Amino acid sequence: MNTFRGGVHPHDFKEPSRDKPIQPLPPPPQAVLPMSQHLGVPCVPTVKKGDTVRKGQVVGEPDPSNPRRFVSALVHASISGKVAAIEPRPTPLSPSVLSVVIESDGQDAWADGLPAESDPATLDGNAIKARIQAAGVVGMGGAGFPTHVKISPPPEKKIDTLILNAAECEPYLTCDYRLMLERPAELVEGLLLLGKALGAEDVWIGTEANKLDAFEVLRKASDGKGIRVEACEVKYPQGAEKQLIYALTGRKVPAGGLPLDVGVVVQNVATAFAVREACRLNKPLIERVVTVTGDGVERPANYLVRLGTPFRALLDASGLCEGARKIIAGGPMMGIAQGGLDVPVVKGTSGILVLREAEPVEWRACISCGRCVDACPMGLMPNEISIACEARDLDMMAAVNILDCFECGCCTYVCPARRPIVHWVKWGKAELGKRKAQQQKQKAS
Amino acid sequence: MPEEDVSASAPDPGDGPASEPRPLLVTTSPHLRAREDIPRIMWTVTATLVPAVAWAVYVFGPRALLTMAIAVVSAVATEAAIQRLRRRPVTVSDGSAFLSGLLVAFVLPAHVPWYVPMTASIFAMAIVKQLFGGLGCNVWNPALMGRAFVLAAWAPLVVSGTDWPAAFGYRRGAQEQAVSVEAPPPAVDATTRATPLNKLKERLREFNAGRRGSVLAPRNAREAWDALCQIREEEGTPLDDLYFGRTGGCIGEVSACLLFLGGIVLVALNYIKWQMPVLFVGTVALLSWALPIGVQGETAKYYLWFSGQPLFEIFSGGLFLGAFYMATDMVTSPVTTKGQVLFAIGCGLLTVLIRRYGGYPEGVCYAILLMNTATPMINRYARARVFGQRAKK
Repeated sequence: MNTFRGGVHPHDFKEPSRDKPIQPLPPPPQAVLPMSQHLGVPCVPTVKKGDTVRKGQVVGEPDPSNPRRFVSALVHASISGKVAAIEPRPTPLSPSVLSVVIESDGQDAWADGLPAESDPATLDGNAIKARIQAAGVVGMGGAGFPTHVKISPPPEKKIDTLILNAAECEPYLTCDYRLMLERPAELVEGLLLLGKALGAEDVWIGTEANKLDAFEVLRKASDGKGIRVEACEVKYPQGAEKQLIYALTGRKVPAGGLPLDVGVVVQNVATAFAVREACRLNKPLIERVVTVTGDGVERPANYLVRLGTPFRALLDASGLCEGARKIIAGGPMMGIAQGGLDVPVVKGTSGILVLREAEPVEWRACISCGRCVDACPMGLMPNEISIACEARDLDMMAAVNILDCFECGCCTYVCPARRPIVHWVKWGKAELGKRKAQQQKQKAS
Repeated sequence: MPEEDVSASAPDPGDGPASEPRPLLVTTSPHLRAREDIPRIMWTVTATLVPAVAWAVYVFGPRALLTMAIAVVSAVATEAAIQRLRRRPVTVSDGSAFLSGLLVAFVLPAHVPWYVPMTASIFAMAIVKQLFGGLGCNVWNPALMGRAFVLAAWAPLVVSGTDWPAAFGYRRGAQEQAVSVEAPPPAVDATTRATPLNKLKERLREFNAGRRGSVLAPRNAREAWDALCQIREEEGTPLDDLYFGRTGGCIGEVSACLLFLGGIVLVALNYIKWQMPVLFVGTVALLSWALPIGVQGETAKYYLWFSGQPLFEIFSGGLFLGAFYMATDMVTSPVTTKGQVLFAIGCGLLTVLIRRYGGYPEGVCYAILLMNTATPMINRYARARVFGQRAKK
C-alpha cells in the first residue's frame, strides 16, 4: 500500500465523532476576527469601531503598504452587526493579535450581492484565482497558507499534479472525513476548479485506509472525471505534504524545497470545499467544519461554525466535562494547547480536542534507543537535535538539520525517555532565526 | 521545563458552566504519547529473561539464585546510593539497575564466591554507569564491564565454568566436581573444569605445545585435519546439549534455546532490531568456519582454512546472550539501523578473533565492549538520510 518511510501508528481515536453528521451551530452573539490567522502578511482593519457590517463584508485586508501583501488573505465578517471593538485578543495561535470584534444584530444579513450562484464552468484559471483571493481562502488543514498564492506558482515551475489531501492523519479529527461523506460532489467540483486554475494534468485524491467508506464515496463522485482516488496506509503523518506526495507519486520534494519543485500542489479537503463555495456561490470563507472531541466532552460532534465563534460556544454545545485538563486547537499530534476558552475559531481550526489527562511531562536523558530516528518521516536524527537543543548549541542544531523538521511530533510520541523534542525544536528554530536576523543586521551596518 | 500552568483567562463569575477547567495545562505538542517508556521497556526485557533464570536454577541449583540475588541487590542499592549522593532523583524503580544486576549474574558462573557478583555489580553501577552520568550516558555495557572487572581481579574464579550439578545426572559431567567455593582452584584446570569452548581451546593449545596425548603428530595437512577431528571427538560437546543448555557455563548463557526465545519476543516487540543478533551470530558462524585453525605438525604448523565448526561456535559460550541482550543495549549501541549492522558485524569479527587467536576462550564480552567504544564513531558516520536530500533535480 502507498506510504512513506518512518511515521508512527497511534490509535486513531476517531470513533467518538466519526458518525456524527455535520451540525450547523447558530451564529455567535459576538465574533472575534483576528487580523492574522496564518503565515503571511497580517491584515489591517478596513472598518472602524461603531461601523455596521454585514455578513461577507471585508473587514480586514492585507496591509497595502507591504510589498509582500500578495501573500495574505482577506478577512470577512462572519456575522452581521456592529464593530464593537478593534483591539488585541488572544487567538489559538498567538496570545495577542489585533482583532475586529463584531457584536451581532441578530439579523445575520448578507452583504450586497452575496451569495450569488453562477456556473463556474465559465471561469477561466485567472478568474478562479481571483475568486479564491476575494473569498480569503487559505489552506484549512492547519498552517493556513493563502490558497491563491499556492496555485500561482512562478512561471518557471510547471505544475502537472494536484493532490487532494484527504488523509486526515491526525488522530481524533473527523471534520474532513464528514465533508467527504456528506459533500463529495462539492469537493470534487472544488478540486477540479483548483486543477483548472493550475493547469494540472493529473488530479489525485489521497486518503487513508481507515476511511474506506469516504474513499468509496469519493470514487463514485469523481467517476469519469479523470481523478485518481487512492488509499494510503494508516500511518501518521500520512497527510504531511511531502509524505503524501511521495506515497502517491513517488516524487521526493528536495530538502528545504516546496512541493512545486516537483511539480505538485497539495490542497486540503476543507480548502477544496471553500474553493467551490467561492467559485460557484461567490461565498467568502466565513465558516468551517470543526470537530469537537476527546474524553473531556460529553457529546463529541462535527459542527459547521462561523469563524470568530469562541471555543466556549462549541464546548457549551458539546458539554465540557469536569476535570478537563487540556484544550487543544487542532489534533493531538500538532495541535496547540490553549490557556483559555475565549479564543475564536479561525480559518485553520480543524478541531477542538479536550483531554482529561495530560501527557507525562517528566523527561530523562536520551537512552539512544533510536526510535525517534526510525519514526522521523523526514529522515532526521531527533535524538541529536534534542541533545543540541539541550546544550543550547546553535551550530550543532543547524548541523543536524533542525530546519528540515516540520514538527509532526512522531519522535516525541515514541520517545521512551519522554523527551520534549518538539518543544526544543520550536525553541531552537526561533533561536536560529534570531541569530540570523542579528547577523544580517550586522552585515548591513 | 516544558510544563507551564496557565490560568484560564479572566473568569467571569456567573458566566459559563461551573465546571470550567482551571487551570488548563499548556504544553507543546504532541499531546499524545506512546505507552512505551523506560520502566516498561526495562521490566519487559527482564521478564523475557525469566525462562533463562528458571533454567539456570534448575541446572545449577539454588546457588545460582543466590548469586543472581546478590548481583541484583548490589546493583539496585549502588544505583540508589549514588543517586542520593549526586542529589538526583532515585530512579531504581525504572528497572534498569535491576536488569543490569541480573545481567551481571548472567555472565558469571553460579558458584563464584558472594563477593564476586557484588563487586561486579557495584563496579558496573557506580563506575561504569553513574560516574558517566547515569542511564543513557554510559559508554560501555555495565554488566559486561562488571564481568571484565572481576575477570581481571579473580580470573580463575570467573573463567572456569560451573560444572553440571549432580542432580542433573548428566553423563559426561559425572566425573567432574563442583568448584569449591571455600577453596577456589589456583589456576584454570581446563580439561576437567571448563566450559565447552574452553575445553576445546585448551586441548588444542596443549596439542600444539607438544602434549599430544593419544593423537599422532600430523605430517601433512590431511593428517592435521584428522588430528583436529580426533581432538573434537575427545573434547567436544554435543550440539543439542549446547543448544538446550545441558552444559556448563555462566548462569545465563547456557541455554541458547531459551535466550533465543526471549530474543524473538524482543524483536517482536520492536525493542531490538533483528539485524543485530542475526548479523552478530551470522558473522561468528561464517568467520569461525572460514578462518584458519593452526595445528602444529611434526615439522610444520598447518593452517586449516574453512574447517571450523560454525554450529558449535554459535551455540557455545555467551554468544546468544551477547547477541540478543548485550550488544542490543540501547545506550551503548549505535542509533541507526545502518550503524547497528556495522556494530553487529564488528562484534562477530572480534568475537571470532579473540576466541580463535586470543588468550581467552570466550570473546563475546570483550568484542562487545570494544564495539561499545567504537559506537560514538559509528554514530557519526552511519547517519539517517534526510528526506529529499538526494532527490534528483
